Amino acid sequence: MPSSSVSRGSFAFSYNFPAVSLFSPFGGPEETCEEVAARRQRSRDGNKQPLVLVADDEFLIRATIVEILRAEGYDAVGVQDGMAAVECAAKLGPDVFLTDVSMPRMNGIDAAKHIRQSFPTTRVICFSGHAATSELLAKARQEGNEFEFLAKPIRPTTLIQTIRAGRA
Amino acid sequence: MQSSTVPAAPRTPETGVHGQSAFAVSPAFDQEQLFRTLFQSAPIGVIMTEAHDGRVVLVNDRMVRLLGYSREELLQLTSRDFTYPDDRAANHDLYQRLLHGESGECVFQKRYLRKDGEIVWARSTMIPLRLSAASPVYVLAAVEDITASRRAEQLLRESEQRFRVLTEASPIMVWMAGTDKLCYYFNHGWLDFVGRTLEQEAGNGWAENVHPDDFDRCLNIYVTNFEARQAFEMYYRLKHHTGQYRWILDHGVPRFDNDGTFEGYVGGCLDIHDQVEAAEKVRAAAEQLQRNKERLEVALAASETGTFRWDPSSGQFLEFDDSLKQLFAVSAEETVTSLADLLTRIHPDDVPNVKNAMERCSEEGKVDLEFRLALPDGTVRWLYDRARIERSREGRVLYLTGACTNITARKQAEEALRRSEKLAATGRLAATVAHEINNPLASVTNLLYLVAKDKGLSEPSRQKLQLAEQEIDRVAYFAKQTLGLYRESSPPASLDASQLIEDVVQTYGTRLQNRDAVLQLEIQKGARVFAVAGEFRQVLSNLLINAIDALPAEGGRIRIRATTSQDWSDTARRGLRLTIADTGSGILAEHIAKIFEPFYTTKIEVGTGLGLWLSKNVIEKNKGKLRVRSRASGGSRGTTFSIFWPDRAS
Repeated sequence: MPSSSVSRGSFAFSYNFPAVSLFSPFGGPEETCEEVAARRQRSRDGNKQPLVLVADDEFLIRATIVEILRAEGYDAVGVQDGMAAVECAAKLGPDVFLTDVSMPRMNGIDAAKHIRQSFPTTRVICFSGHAATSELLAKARQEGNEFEFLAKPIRPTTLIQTIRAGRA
Repeated sequence: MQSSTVPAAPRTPETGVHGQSAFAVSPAFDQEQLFRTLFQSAPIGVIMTEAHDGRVVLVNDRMVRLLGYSREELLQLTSRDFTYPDDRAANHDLYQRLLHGESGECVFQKRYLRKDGEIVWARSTMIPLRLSAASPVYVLAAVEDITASRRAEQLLRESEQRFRVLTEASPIMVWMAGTDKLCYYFNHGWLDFVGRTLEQEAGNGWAENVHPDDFDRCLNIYVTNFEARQAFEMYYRLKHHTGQYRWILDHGVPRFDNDGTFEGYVGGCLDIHDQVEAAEKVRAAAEQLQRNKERLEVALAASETGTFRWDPSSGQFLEFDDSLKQLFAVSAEETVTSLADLLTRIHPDDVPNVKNAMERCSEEGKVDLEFRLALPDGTVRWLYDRARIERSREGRVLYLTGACTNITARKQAEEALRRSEKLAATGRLAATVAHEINNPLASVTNLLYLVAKDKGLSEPSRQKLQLAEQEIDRVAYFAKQTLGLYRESSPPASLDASQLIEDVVQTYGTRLQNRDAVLQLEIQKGARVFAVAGEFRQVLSNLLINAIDALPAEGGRIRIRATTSQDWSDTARRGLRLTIADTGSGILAEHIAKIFEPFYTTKIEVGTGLGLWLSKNVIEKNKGKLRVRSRASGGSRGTTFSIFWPDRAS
């Protein structure tokens, strides 16, 4: 707990990390890309659920989205930035690429463009809480890429509806 | 010394007085007396000397006076004695000639030496004479004193000499013409100027140097005045030996000799080329000055600047130009004499500053001041006054001279820039805040959703979760609409207005409940708007929030009416008429104009001041209209916002 005393000039505090790990609410650490790839390979083609690749640099957001999607019968895996998304997509060939726009190393839109090059039929849904997104999307559209958009924070029901409906 | 001799045949001497005479005398006269008197008083010097030695035999009064000796002294002297030494040889020579009959008459211009040593120039006409056949030869001379005329001649010569020297040495160019109008003389000054010889210039040769454009005019002046024997003055271009034509001023004057006979002309010329050029430069400079003055006036008018001069000691304006009068909205005919004349025009808040600056200008040495004018027609104008003190050489303050420029446009631009910077900062702030809010919001939204799915929850817990989700939804909604400040990516479309309105109303259900407010909805089914859903909802949310916030603590009423209608100012356009009316505190008249300005808010703690401004922008962007009515006192207090939103693309 942070502590300070009034008459002293310095501010000293100590912090206890909670004993419970960040992954417990989600039943364990995040599945890696390789793990998901292996798992999907083991299952028969007919049983394969549609795969959503989720990219967001915030762990909680991608973890909760993955769980929401899984509860609705989708297979989902989370990555933390655009480059990881491109690498993972190469291994998995996702049906849907659900991505935050602003991420380090490579943003979601650039990642989507790369993924589309290898997987032209992958559906791309971008989300963002930023004002500049619409310009980026318009530019992408000019270049011949149709990406869908949802505003952050996405209502879970809206997300599910969108994915199910096949379009935003 | 001049002499002339008449080589006549030797003459027989005249016979004397007695005997046959060649002249007639009246018998009334005493001949002896007559001749004696005649001789003595003749108006010419007469002297008779012996031819062989020059001894003086006879001399008359005139001669005596001429020579300065007494008669007695002279009778002792010889011609040689009173002949100037240099002339003695010639004198002797002539005597010999007369003696030997070689000459009949000699005219000898000689110098006599007076007793007092002075020299007398004389013309002596000498003839040989015998008194009788057996007498010795005498020389009879008639002597004329020519000293005076000689001196006159000399003076003339000297004068001519001086003239020559002067004209030769003088830079003034001199010419002389005879009665035939032809020039026969040019001094060195002239010849050096034209670089030609006298032979080349003489006659009419000089005319070759006159500039062709000036020639006819000059010739005309010369001839006309010449014939009238008048002095004249003319200027023309004469070709300098360097080839350059230079302007000269030629002054010609007629010459007359002592009798008044016309002798011709003399002229003096001055090279005035440099003066002409200088005068030309002055004229050109004056023209340039005038042009500059005009350009300055144009520039001042274009830049809306006026100039003035003010005397600090008397407080009077020495100059207050028309441009400045225009700035101060003073007519050109009015005179501005003192500061007091202008005070009515200056904005009351700025009057102290202006007065202070003017009073202190002598100490400060300058004025550097921005102030406002509040003109009679109500406009406010910003002026920039820049002036400095001019001092005399001794340092005494002469006056304040300066200019005022209209900087209203600049001030307005600065204000707009400040506002847009604020907006930009807000935008940047909003971007950061949006990110910092939206991400945790996304996490919380998702987590609440996942928790709510837990079948094992108790009913109260599940309901609490639902409420939590609603509240988070509100935050999310607000964050998206207000902090986001972004355009949605979906294009506008024809939408069902009632659905959108209900969406918004749903969102604020709880808030309305908390306020104990009653919401009346009258929505016409089928009413449509052409809009981006989010934008429409944003505008309605904003107006609804304002209405709710305006209600008093004890509750109130909000009525939302939506009908299909037309634009109140252009009935051809159809769309939605939406009114949001509240029974709240109302907006004061002085605030009503400002409520649509960015950053204007009365809700200091929570308001961004952007809601109405944003809403207005969105409505106008969609070619809609927004207006407001309000009453802040009395029974029917409250505010009504009316929107027209088109139902199709414009």
